[in-house]
Amino acid sequence: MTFPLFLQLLTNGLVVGALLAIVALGVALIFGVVRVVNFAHGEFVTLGAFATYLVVTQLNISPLLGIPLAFVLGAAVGAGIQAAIVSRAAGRPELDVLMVTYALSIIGLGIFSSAFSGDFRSYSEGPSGIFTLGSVVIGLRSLTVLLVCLIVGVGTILVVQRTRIGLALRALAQSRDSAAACGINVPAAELFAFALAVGLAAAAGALVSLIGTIHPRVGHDLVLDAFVVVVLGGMGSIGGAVLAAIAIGIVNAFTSFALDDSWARILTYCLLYATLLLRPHGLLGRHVGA
Amino acid sequence: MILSLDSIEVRYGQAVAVDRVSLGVGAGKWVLVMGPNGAGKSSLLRAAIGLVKHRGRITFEGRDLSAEPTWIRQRLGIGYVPEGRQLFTEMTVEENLRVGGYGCSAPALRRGLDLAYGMFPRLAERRGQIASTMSGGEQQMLAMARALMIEPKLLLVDEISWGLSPILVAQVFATLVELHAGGIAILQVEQNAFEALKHAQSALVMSAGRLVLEGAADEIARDRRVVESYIGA
Ligand SMILES: Nc1ncnc2c1ncn2[C@@H]1O[C@H](COP(=O)(O)OP(=O)(O)OP(=O)(O)O)[C@@H](O)[C@H]1O
Ligand SMILES: [Mg+2]
Repeated sequence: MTFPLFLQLLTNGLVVGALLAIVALGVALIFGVVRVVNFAHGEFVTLGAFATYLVVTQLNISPLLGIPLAFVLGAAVGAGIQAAIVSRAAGRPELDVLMVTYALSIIGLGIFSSAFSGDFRSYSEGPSGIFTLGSVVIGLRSLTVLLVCLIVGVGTILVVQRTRIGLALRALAQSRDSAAACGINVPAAELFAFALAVGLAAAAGALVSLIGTIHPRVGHDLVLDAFVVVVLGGMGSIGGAVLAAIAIGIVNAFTSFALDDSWARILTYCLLYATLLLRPHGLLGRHVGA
Repeated sequence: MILSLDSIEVRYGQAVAVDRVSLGVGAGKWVLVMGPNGAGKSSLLRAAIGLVKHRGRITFEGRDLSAEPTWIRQRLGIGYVPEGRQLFTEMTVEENLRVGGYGCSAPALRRGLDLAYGMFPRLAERRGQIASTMSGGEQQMLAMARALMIEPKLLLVDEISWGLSPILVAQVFATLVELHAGGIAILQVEQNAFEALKHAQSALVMSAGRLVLEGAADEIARDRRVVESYIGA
């Protein structure tokens, strides 16, 4: 492998890893704060992708504007679903809650399939062209994805680490009872976490639509890797999730090139298995409080 | 009465942990609840702050809290120091305090921090330290300071001397005495009845979920059954 090719694959892996990180941040947020494994997370990515596709092709709106629009739409839908459905399952046995998000996922898949059929769609509006840096060629669209992921990712981490509501989210992730006894409105904080996480997923969907083709399973496929990322990173650990996302993105890029996509998937899950054996609490080795 | 518990019942599945217990805490008064392990003392406090489902009526300063969630009860002025401290172990000392004052306005938060650090200089020295790395005594101070951030009118304290050396127990009780002198009402659950009975005005004994004895603290302290069971003659 030549050095320029190496850099190229690294860059490609970084773009996928950055997207994965945004999706995984949401999964980790919902798991850490709401204590729910959100199987439907991928469908929210798909929602953002189709929403962006529609506003770009039907309303002639720039896909760049589609990103914040998708975020707002996702946050609204997320808030609605948390309030109307997920919060009502709270306190039920874990399996019941899993079934609720699983059902949401299947329903979402069904809605997208019947509304948009299985066609692969894409659009050409928005940033185009390439950008060369030495011997590495990166499409402007990929560069946009990378930049937006950076901004959104750093923004989310700042919200969690530095703001008042972020303090509530972290408190809630460590001890629900203590958080409540400290005057935190637990349902409201959960609603915020769910809405933020789904907003992130939908924004990631908008970015996916910019660099790839859109189809009803586009988010579903991405989220499988996002779950791996969250487990690798240590359930609920935000730093770990980001690190794991980048690692998975890069491993995928190299394996897909050297072998093929199936091998990339096999390797991803071997990596997951090895990490669980060697570092049961994830890459950064942190426990999540009970 | 600042707090009235009226016929409180707590069940875990079929098991009755608290069986129609009623008690009142007068404004500025110190009430002690004693009883053997599993008597339902912690469950009673958890019901008072709203962390377990309960039947019966709870009024605080005349307001019916029975249907209010925990966070509203806290913001109305009930501080809770739970059994086993239940700190945010991965947060720093200062972050724990900030969560404790989550419902406070910015100036009230500032004042709460100043008060907490004034009362517990050890915490001021360690404001950036992760809570789980502190000693047991420091952690208990932090649990108290966290509950005091909102300047509560009533403090619920559960086994505050658990796991502490005699010197630290004395310190913790000295702090409670100081708070009580400042006008805070205290509802305390405590195994270390000998020390607690010196300070409380009234005391109750629970057993198997029921109230079995209640009276003025000095009378209870002389009660032969209590002395045999909880104080050791
Ligand atoms: N979450 C729970 N689920 C089921 N049973 C519980 C739960 N919490 C407490 N119990 C039971 O309720 C009863 C009362 O428990 P509680 O903790 O209130 O007693 P306690 O008087 O505080 O005891 P200790 O002195 O050991 O702290 C016990 O039989 C206990 O096993
Ligand atoms: Mg107890």
